[in-house]
Amino acid sequence: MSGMASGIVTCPLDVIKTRLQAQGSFRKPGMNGTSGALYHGMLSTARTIWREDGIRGMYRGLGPMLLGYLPTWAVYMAVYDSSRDYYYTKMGLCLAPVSRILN
Amino acid sequence: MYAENRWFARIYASITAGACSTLVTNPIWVIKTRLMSQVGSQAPEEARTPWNYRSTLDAARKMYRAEGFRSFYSGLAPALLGLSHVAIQFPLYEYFKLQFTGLEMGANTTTMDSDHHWVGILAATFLSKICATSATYPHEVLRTRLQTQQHMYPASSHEEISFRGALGSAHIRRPPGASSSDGMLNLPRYRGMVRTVKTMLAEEGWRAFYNGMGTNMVRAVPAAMTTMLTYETLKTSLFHLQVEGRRIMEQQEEGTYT
Repeated sequence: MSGMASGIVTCPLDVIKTRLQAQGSFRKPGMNGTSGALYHGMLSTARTIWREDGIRGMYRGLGPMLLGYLPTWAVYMAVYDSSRDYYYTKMGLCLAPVSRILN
Repeated sequence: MYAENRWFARIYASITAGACSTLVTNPIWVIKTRLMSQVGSQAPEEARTPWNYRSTLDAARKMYRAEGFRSFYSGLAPALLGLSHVAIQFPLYEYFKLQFTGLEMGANTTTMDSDHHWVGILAATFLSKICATSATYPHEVLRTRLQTQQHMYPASSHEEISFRGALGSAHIRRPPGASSSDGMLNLPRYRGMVRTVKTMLAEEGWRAFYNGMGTNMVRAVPAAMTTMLTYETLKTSLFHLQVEGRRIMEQQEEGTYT
């Protein structure tokens, strides 16, 4: 639930970030340096998206973003708990002889 | 020694878990990135993406048809590389927290008057997140660039022919795609991580690797601070509950004896 709420709050920021990150991919050949950059900075990018696409532009990709939360956390939590126990025992075993000597 | 090992176990576990969840969810993130970089009809020509997806499902269908299964796993290598983020953030967090509060991660204070303690936790999260993000941010740009590049089959039309990267095509003996109208080879701009880095350096310079980092900080730092504060609060209240529980049980035991 809190993941969903934060997704809705942060989605526009994610869109702005993605635009800034991706802009070099679509540049025409022959452009040099930052001369052909379409977006500059967070606020200016936000204004551009708002002007061209309104609220829809700010929330593009919200669907897959929310869709991805659940499997991400489910897999992460399941694997984290079991692999942490695995590493604990593995390290515990490695540590045992050393601690025996130290004691 | 023991505490330190537990600590490594936690970092390893979080990298393992992160790798598994990345493998499972990468297709969703590729679709997300592609939808987010898509622009509206009012946007100028040079901002247009070569694709136009209506929805998540539409994107998945079109990607599968035009580019095959492989496209769902584009950007996987930098995504996995980005898992090193935790290996920087958590040790730094522990270090800063120890400096500011004198406590380890998850350790508890016995006194409740710990405003100083919360400020320390927030400051430690803030600093560790900023350091880890600055250090590992370029992987995000690489991932986005690879995710937003189409894996085209030999192009059938003019519009589908993608741009060649600035490094030209001298490294490839056999052309993977068809030729464009000017007789040059139709090659993707980015191929693999190393070549992507080289192409970006040649075309845009090193600054491109930090595009959008400020925005990312605005998004990620408060999120990390909330998460950390929640985690530490839960830990502390759990600890106090245990203390309280023990006290009640002792009282009850005393009660049965008297």
